[in-house]
Amino acid sequence: MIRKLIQDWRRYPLLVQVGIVWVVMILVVAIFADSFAPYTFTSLDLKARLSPPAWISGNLRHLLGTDELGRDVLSRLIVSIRVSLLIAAASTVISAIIGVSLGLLSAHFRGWIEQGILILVDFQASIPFMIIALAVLAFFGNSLPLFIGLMGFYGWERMARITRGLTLAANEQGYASAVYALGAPPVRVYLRHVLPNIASSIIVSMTLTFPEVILLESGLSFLGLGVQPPMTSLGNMVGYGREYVQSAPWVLLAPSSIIVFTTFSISIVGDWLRDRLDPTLR
Amino acid sequence: MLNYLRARLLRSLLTLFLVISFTFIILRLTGDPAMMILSPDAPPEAIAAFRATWGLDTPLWQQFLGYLWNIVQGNFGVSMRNGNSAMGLVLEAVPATLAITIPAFVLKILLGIPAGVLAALYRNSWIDRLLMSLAVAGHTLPSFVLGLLLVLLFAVRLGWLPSGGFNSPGHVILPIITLTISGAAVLARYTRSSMLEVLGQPYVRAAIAKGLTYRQVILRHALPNAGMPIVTIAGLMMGGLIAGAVVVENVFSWPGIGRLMVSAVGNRDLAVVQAALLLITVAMISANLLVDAIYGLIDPRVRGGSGGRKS
Amino acid sequence: MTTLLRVNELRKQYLVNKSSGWFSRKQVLHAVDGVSFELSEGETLGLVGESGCGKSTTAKLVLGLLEATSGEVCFDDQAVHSKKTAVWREARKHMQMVYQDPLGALDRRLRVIDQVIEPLDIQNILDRTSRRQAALEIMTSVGLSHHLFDRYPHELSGGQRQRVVIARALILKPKLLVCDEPISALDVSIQAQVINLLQDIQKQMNLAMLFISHDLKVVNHICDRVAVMYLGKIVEQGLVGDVFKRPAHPYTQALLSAVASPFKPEANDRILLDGEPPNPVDRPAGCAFHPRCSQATELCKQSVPRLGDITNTHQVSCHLYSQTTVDTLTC
Repeated sequence: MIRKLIQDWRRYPLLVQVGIVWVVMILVVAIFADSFAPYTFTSLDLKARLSPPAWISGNLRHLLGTDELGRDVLSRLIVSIRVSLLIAAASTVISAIIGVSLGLLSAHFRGWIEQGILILVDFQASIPFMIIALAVLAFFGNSLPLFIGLMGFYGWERMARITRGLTLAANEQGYASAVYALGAPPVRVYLRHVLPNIASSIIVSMTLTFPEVILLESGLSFLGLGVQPPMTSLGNMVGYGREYVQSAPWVLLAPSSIIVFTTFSISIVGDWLRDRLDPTLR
Repeated sequence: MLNYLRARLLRSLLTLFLVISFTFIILRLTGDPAMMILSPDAPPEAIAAFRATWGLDTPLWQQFLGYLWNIVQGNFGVSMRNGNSAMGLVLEAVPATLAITIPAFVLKILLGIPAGVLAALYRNSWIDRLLMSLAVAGHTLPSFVLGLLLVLLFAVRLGWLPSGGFNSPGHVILPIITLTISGAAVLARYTRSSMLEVLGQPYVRAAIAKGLTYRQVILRHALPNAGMPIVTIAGLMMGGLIAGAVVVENVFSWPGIGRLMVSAVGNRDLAVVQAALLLITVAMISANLLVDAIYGLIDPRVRGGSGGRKS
Repeated sequence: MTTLLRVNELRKQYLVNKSSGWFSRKQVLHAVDGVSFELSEGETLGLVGESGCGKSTTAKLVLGLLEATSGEVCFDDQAVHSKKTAVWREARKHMQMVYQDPLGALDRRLRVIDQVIEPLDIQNILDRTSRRQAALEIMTSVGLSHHLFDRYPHELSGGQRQRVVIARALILKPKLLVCDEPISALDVSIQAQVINLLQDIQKQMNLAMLFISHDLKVVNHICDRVAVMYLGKIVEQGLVGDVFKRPAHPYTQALLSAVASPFKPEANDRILLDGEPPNPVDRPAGCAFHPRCSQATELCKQSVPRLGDITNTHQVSCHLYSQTTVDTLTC
């Protein structure tokens, strides 16, 4: 299937092509961050504080300028990309694991277990996650593992709902009930049949969740509650750059642009993937 | 219908109860509440008094009941920062938040829904593409980026509008615009897909075949049916009136609940955080209930419910 | 012929909500209400009736896919469990099902040959190479050509898919095959082929078949005996020739009069039933059919009739005929 996707490249809409290229670029930057960054992201150059990007009036040593402590914006940007993407990827995976497991449990066991899980789903869906996140951060502080775990609770309810719906349909009238009638134990039914069948729906849901987590993490880091210094993330950089919006706007414009282009690209590609993988999905 | 509302009400109360329990449990989990709510260098007598008031030496379930009792009275303790009542601080901040979220809500509806309808009616034309591109842009642009860009443009470069604070009417404009844009974008996309779905239905074609003008078809058949999912989303947004402005308030230093909550979180001022959390939850739940009630009124399918035949 | 399957006073009840909401009263839905019959090796029993009469539920109860509220199902002189234990899973080797919707019964993501091999995998029969061989053989014998073996379900036609389902059911060499409306979803031109296939297979493998359908012509063609169901009860049963040529129960008579006429050489006045199709939650008192019966008497409104013999191969449950009590069967 992957081979087919690559072969059809020329037929993709332009916007999707651009989106895919961008996403791939960002991924490469994230993975090989250390090789790309000209400086380490903490190195100070106090004589060159707040110098502008190379094309405005700065020098080539700092392509995107420097921030208030003389740190190279480009290097910090590259490392931030990696941090933000890692957090978003880890969270999306955690969210999928939680969502699919709970969805399967509720569809398999029915009864009280199902009701309990549905109540949790309702609860999560009815309160804006930002508020939940703020409360948890207030109470627990925000070490990085905790933060990633918290982000991992974003969006699980959607995947749980999808999983439960599809599993119920399969179990009641569909292919899963037929395989049970052949004498298969539940583990086999779920691993061999149900999970592969729901995989595409889950992947689509993950492509929705991933950019939303990036936005959420950026928002929280911007507010100073997310990724803490000395670690840097995209939202973090925007937060710091905010004070210098008048004197040195490039400090916040660079990370902002990356956030915007990346989430936009992922949304476009995700939408398109969704249409391709299953046109009946909406 | 009454059964339906009763079920919804019970569910809402359950959610509220869950939130309260959640807060209680976390509070106890994270360490000595006395140390957390008072500052770490409070004198021992104050700590002892606090313990007594909140019954921290009594068994857990008793503490929980005491907690509930306090909440019902609106007593959340006092803010670490200035010793004022936590709930009092929160309530003071509400009008400021509403001052920007309510106008934004109205604008979102006025902009978003017609945009979505237009896009659906002129599907695949340049109008549709333009509107939907704007919608996607508005949707994926994070609010803080949007806000800062607006500040950069209007406040810094052009100097037309102030960038923060809340002294003059002009201060209100940029926050409202920021809030409006992302919400309108979501509404527009949703309205468009809802309209498209309705327009594809057989009863629309039947109406046209009956001889109704296109406009009559839209107004009498398409819009009302497309309206229901839109009411849901709009209702959900209404619930977010209080909570929705967290980031924007921070960008513009607007003294609403959002900014209060963020600074409380930063200071670990748990009394204020609890108070804000509960107020926001109650607001959301009430809004959801209202939406459910409206839904029950307009959607005849929800109202009746005879036990169906099973075969 | 040995009796393979014995069903005795099988009942299945559901609790349903009368109206929506949390505080509604529950009512009992009698999906299957005291069904008894026997089935021997190599014999085909048809179950007919309108939608909602309990045919499919009975089929699932027989296989142990649903748990009965009361009553017994005996297969090969052993009780059939309904909890999905290892014993139950083992018993699958002897009884299988063919479904109404072949596309729904197959996994879209697997090739059909893998799905036919799967039962052997699950039951751990034979070794790997022999499994594939067995699958090839059975698929050929149901009439699928070689080039279809590696295809996916949605690439096949309806008739081909149903053959795959049949092959998958037969590969374990069961003794009992339950067919739940196996051809209603197929094109009319294909239906005959599939029916003939089932008949051939039955002769080859000496299968007992429980054949559920609402299509009386097909039942007449393929079944040895038939049972007519109404609202969860069997109202008439016997040899196909007896029941269809000399229908005793007014309901059977009405059903048959609606079918084009090889059964009734004389002019067929269509018997139209009065009233609405019944609501299984709100059953009439007495004989469940009496509101729609043109020959109903006072007795019919009050007392429930029991199945009694007309001849030794033909039973009916109706007050219009004198009856004896039915034997109770035990395992």
